[in-house]
Amino acid sequence: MSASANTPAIRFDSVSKAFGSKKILSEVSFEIARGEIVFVLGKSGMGKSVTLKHIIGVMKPDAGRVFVEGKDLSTLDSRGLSGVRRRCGMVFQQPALLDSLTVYENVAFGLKSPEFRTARAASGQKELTENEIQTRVVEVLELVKLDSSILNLNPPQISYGMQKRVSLARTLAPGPSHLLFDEPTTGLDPITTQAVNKLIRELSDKLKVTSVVVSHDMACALQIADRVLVLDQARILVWGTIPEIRQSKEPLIQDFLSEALEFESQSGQEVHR
Amino acid sequence: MKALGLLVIFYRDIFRSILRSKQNKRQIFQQTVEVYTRSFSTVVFAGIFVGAILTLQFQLVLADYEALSMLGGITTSACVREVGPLIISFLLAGKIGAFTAAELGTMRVTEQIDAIECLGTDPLEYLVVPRFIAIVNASILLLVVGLLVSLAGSMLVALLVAGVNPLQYITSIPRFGGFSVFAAGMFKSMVYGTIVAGVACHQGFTASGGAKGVGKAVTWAAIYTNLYIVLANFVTSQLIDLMNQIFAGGH
Repeated sequence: MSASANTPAIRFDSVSKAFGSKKILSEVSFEIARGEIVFVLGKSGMGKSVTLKHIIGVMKPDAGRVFVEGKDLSTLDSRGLSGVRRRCGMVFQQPALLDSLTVYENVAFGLKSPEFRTARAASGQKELTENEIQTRVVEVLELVKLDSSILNLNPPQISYGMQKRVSLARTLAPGPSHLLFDEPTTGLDPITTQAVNKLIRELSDKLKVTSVVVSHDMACALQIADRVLVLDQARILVWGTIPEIRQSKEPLIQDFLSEALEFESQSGQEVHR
Repeated sequence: MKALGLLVIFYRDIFRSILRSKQNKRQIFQQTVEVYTRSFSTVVFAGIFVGAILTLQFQLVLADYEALSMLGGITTSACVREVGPLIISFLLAGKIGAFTAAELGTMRVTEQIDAIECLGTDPLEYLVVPRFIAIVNASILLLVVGLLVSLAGSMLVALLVAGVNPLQYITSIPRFGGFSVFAAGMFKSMVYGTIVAGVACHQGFTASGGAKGVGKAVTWAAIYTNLYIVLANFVTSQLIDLMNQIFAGGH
């Protein structure tokens, strides 16, 4: 059963999660529309990454339900969950590339995975040939502004910023509908950070993918987000558009905003939208 | 006990995965060769001295009883059935086990394993199973090499120190078990190799907490492997004695 165009891409319905006695999420509810860029902000340990892990079904809520494209993850078996994970491409905090494989092999990894092949076979599509895989690899590398000269290099032979892009290309290769970014700019210099932010925006515009970005960088959120969700003390502190965030009187939001403005004055980057 | 329980579940998952999926023979072969070549020199070096030391000790006692003609048989029996597999397994635990735990642990904390899973590949099948099979294969091969080298070291010391010539040495071996001794040594080697592979893979695969977590995984891999090998030595020795009593009438 395919979800209608109006069905939210991702929906949290009163989701609660605790680790031992520590509450991480407490009755958190929100909806993310298709094609939207949403930043999930918050201090460390406030459940940002836990939120992402719920979306790909790696974690299950203690209470409440998570929906992806209208599908309640709690009702899905392992095959159903695999299907959801295939629709959601996860970009990790670290490049997480396999050092023993070349850039080409890393990017092609998802296209050669048993799950990808099974899904193609189930939908009546033929298995990709090596030529088709190669074409797709070059295509996604171009999307992330990398050229094919690095195809035969191993990850340690390219810069950290390039590794991040290769990692993004690897996630894009199987053609996910939603991209989940776990602190994509952590450990990057301001110039590369800007480039990654721009890339997220471009990919969203070009591929019409939904992007959920976990971060604690308000400056990035102000630049590219459509909406921002701020988590604090296991609850949603603020959830709204950039103008709504700017109007918030919450001290934590004010702290985030002043940090963003400080970044703006130091780097000369425009964070007002 | 919890660690042992988790390890048993891990073994179950590995064996299920081996039975369920088609193995990448090329990857297993490459891993086996890598593990084998990485540890070959250490095993040869240790093997020579295991045999030499045992011979030195036994010849002192046997000389007092004018029974040096039994030196080859006694040394071979002790070396092949007991000391050889044990010491060589300890070395493999330190070398292959630590390396594997560190390698998989690093992959875990740098999210490589999570990435593999998110890209639709079972990391246990892709990363652990080939390493597991390769370590067991290489361990058996290395233990055979180590035992052969230890016999050579033993024969050399027997000749130089006790004056027992190689022919005398070899002809005394069947008196102390012959084939059953080698079968027992091989059986123990296989069991110890399985322990080295399983514990190292388990510790690395479940590592967490950055560099410190990898360090812990390596430490616990070494500790648990050695403990389980000692425990397995007791169990397998009892089992082999029992089998000998059943099939060879108590020899």
